[in-house]
Amino acid sequence: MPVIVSESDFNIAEEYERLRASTDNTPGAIVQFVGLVRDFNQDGEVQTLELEHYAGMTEAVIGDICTQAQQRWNISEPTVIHRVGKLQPTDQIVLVAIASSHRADAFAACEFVMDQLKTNATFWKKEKRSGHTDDWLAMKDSDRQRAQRWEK
Amino acid sequence: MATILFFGSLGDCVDQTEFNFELTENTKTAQDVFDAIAIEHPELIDAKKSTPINVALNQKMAEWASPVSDGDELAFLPPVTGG
Repeated sequence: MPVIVSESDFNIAEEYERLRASTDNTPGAIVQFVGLVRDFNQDGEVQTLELEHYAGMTEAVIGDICTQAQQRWNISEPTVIHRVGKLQPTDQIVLVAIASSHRADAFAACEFVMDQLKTNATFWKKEKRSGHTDDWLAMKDSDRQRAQRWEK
Repeated sequence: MATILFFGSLGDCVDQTEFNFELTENTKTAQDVFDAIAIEHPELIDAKKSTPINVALNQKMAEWASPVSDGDELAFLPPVTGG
């Protein structure tokens, strides 16, 4: 199952080749989304981002999200890699890669998986900013609204 | 005995984010356990008022009224911020 939660960085070229080689049928489209650590937010410059997660449950929730995506769209098994631990601005945090016969399904499934990761996967971000105490981040309303689109 | 876990901002309200908890006649549900721990750590009460907290029992989402038994793993989860 290509769901990985790890402190280690990932190589998108390797993951692309792995997904391309693992699909039963030749895919017509592969979509990769990579999330990066921002070097700023609305309150100032970000120095480090620390990601905590619920080991075991996180992998199970992501697996469930991938299963839902496969039930909704004609896609191969998604690749999801999510990093935890201490990260620096511009570091890669998350990779979602989807292969499909057609781009529409690949784009939609990729967006669905990301929206679900934001609102359902058991990760918590703590941000350290210059001149501030460490802050646990709150879920954004915009992320909640994006995820709710898929409930229709 | 149950294993209790606090994640994210809730971890700052307690001394340890993972510990064993002796279940009694008065602590039969997730709500009971939370309330009992909050007696020692009143910051948890303020946290529950300001943010919706979810409950996971044995790594599956559960209800505040879910019964807790010896050997269970009970986790309290603030809103997630992954991705």
